[in-house]
Amino acid sequence: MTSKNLSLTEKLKNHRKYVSRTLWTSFIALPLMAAYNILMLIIFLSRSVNYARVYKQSAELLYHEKLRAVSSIMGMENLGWILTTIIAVMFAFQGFSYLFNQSQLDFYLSQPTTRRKRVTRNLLISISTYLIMDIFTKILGLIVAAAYGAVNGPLLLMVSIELVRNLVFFIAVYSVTVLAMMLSGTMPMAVLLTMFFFFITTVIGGEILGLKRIFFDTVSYRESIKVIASPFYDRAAVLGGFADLVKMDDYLLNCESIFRFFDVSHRRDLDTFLVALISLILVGVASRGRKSEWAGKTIVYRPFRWVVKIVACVVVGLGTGIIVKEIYAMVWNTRIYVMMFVLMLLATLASCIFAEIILQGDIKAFAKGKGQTVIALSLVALVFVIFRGDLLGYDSYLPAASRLESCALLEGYNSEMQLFIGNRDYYEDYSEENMYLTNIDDVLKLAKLGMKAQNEAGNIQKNNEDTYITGYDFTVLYRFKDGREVYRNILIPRDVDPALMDSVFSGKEYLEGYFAVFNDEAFRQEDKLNTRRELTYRVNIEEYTEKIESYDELSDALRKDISANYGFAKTRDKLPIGQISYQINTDSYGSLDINIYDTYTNTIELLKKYGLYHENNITPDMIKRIEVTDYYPGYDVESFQTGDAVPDTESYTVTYEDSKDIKRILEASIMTEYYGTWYDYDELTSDKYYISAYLTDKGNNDSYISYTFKKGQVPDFVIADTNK
Amino acid sequence: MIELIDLEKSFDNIKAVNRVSLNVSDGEVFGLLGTNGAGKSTILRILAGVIKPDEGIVLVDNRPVYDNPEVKKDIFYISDDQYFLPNSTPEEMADYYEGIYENFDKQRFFKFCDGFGLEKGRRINTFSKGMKKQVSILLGLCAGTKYLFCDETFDGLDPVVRQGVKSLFAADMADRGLTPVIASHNLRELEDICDHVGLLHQGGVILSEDIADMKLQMQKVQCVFRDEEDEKKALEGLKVLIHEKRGRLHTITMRGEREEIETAFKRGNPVFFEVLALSLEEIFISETEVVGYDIKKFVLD
Repeated sequence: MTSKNLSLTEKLKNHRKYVSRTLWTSFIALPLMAAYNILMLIIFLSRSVNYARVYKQSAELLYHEKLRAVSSIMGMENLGWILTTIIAVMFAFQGFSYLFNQSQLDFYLSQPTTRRKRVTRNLLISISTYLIMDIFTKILGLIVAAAYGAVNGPLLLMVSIELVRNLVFFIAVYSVTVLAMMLSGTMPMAVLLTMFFFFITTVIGGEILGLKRIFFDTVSYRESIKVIASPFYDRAAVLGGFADLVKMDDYLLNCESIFRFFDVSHRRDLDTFLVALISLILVGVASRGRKSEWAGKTIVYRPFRWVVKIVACVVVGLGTGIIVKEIYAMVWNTRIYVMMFVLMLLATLASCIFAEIILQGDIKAFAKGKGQTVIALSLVALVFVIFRGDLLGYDSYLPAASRLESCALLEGYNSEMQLFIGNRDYYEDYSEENMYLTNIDDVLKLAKLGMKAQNEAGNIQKNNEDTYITGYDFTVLYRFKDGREVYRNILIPRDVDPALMDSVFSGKEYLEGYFAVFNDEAFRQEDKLNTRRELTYRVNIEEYTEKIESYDELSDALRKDISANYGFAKTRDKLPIGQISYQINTDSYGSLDINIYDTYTNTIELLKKYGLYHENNITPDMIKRIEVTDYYPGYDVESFQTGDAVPDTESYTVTYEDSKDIKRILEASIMTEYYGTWYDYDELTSDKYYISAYLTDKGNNDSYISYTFKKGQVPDFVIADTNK
Repeated sequence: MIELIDLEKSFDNIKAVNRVSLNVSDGEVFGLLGTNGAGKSTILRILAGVIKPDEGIVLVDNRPVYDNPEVKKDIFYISDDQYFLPNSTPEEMADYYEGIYENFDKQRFFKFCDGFGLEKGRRINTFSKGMKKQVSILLGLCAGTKYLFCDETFDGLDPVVRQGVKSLFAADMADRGLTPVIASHNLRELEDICDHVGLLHQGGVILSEDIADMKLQMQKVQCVFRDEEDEKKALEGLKVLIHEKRGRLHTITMRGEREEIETAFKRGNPVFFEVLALSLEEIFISETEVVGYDIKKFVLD
């Protein structure tokens, strides 16, 4: 009997045997996947049940926790993609290792099939085997979850979505690995090339960001690494966003909570999908052109060999530049750029020599590939020149107003309002999420001035000069109509036109985007569970606390006061008189800390209503001693111009206990306990002195109130005493 | 029928096959002979569709072979370094080939295995080199293909097995018109199995003839001449390939038919002359020596 007469069952049996022989790594993969999708799930569920028992969680909360446990294994936030990566690489290397072995090539390629069919068959067997194993182990896992009562519709939707995402991720990693194998002639080179494909775009993205931070003054820490064509980065980059979403109360309780994940991941998922698609197409192209006699070569396509060598060497060269900057960060000056450039070129040259030795497998080949070496050196030099000379205009970038949807002006870290639900601060990115400035022309005018000052400040820093420029630090966020977002750090000079400043900073859009009290529904909601409701008012170093009826009345008062009385012109010459603090301590923790100006009449009325308001009446008789510290003894700092060198001297402190001296010092100074955002400290105060006033009634307590002298009003006796 | 027309193949800068033209008729055993690096394995790989020629045409039954599954259904290729699926047994290899070649006869394969003393359920990687070759040959014979390409396949087989395999070849040639193409250095083995040989050297074909014709067209004569005058008379008009002289005894290899050479030598009136039968190995050495592949060079240098 010949095989022509085989039944379908016998053919399937033979196929199964073939798969078990050609893809034996599936016998490793299946237990691993079962361990992850079933065993780990049981451990997580069991932990949730025990936790609930020990901490007496409600049935409702336990149910939610169990759903979270299942999703942490099979949902979009899972880390199973690391296991998927291992399996994809294993399958690829097993399925296509014949490309490197002449006897296997003889065996497979002499059989009655086409190359395309053989490659397609290998791909389909690997992908279908993985998919079957994933579905099988997930179904078993879900049966276990159901036994624990930890399954609902949204969870099943989540698991189904993740199944598809995981399949796309598998195909992407698998086909990239196969592509690397198709372009290699030996196993070690295939491994190296796989690593190259996996991580090169991430490394390049990191280096570009690193170079921006070295060379550009307006680069913002908010600007993140830009990476494309990296399935691993795609997966890792969305984890942070997912971590926030899983902490939300309705997570897995409705389908909407699942669809929110798409907002975070859809761009990255699309990138992974495109990697899968393009690499599959390239696998087809490379397999068509690949000759079987290329087994044993390092990289089989000559042009591609050039590209790999040049890119790898350029990456090494640029990376060297970043390392040099890190080493010399503390003693940087412009001359070190020359050394940096030379070292970058030397590293590129060395890596070219090393790469050629690896690619040729011959140490004597170190001098070969001169053309590629010249191109790599030229590219490194070109990148250096582009960044050093800012030939692309990064530090002078101003987008056209017509292309912008809105802008935001962000401060470093605004912690006035916090609400921690789980571990997440609900208001962490409040300004970025809520500030939409549409008076774009005015924002651009400020940005232009701010970039100029930022560049000047940057030049001072790069030259390691002992001078400084002060101003208002912001990060401007440009939101483009096409969805792009661009950040730039700016330093708005203090002498800018007040009308221009107020057109932006006193506007409703800015105020409501800056102060979280304008969008504090979550805080108000959480406050309903808050029983303590204690409001604290701080003035100088005193604190007064009383229970209030609700947070809402405080918020309402603040909204009115901020809208009416906060702004550049309104607050540039005054400092806050005190600070209020309100906390929520329920299952969540929330806090509001906000400075109060004397113009905040509604808030002051509220404080008075609860007996919290106290004037800041520090009189000389309340002070037992004052310490005045002169930071620059012997120098008239007030006569310095912006950009003048700062003297390097030892500070000198004088203590005054005489009531007359104390009175004169207090008359000439202003309390600086509370920071005024728009207060012009440069113009209105002397930064030569610092004053610490110790109160009489505090006994030996070393608590003191901070003051500084008003500009031009430093008493003569203080000047004489401290000018040592 | 297999036709190779002006076949060329280079690996980097090395010309492995240089304008080779050969014909393999159906039902004959074709032997590919050649020096090391002559291109025998390359030609077999091209014939099996493993590698693509740079130039020239390869036709198997008037159809191109490269990436053509329909043609490859008629071809089974046994490379010099046989590959078996990892940890597989002869039985599993038979299962595998059952899915590849529609005429694969598993029962026949099992019968052969029993006959050759090969355990069907034992892992092939525990077999000796010769046993692995036996498994390959038996798989090839049972695939039921019209063409069987063997690269150095008979090396390493013991004489009994060799005879057994030869008889199986003969039976399949008679029963179903099997056409084996065998590349080998083992000229003595090819001599009694091949009908036709192609002699390769440095990628090119030196000759391609039926062995019988080849033997008729080349003669070796041992003789003793009275003087140089007689020697000149005897060798006049003959195509001498190799002429060795030890004392007065001449050993001369030359082209030509036996009668023609005998006539010429009688004309020279030697003291003694005898026409000897040439083995395939001697023909191989003679032909390659003519094109500069002289074993004496290696020995004397």
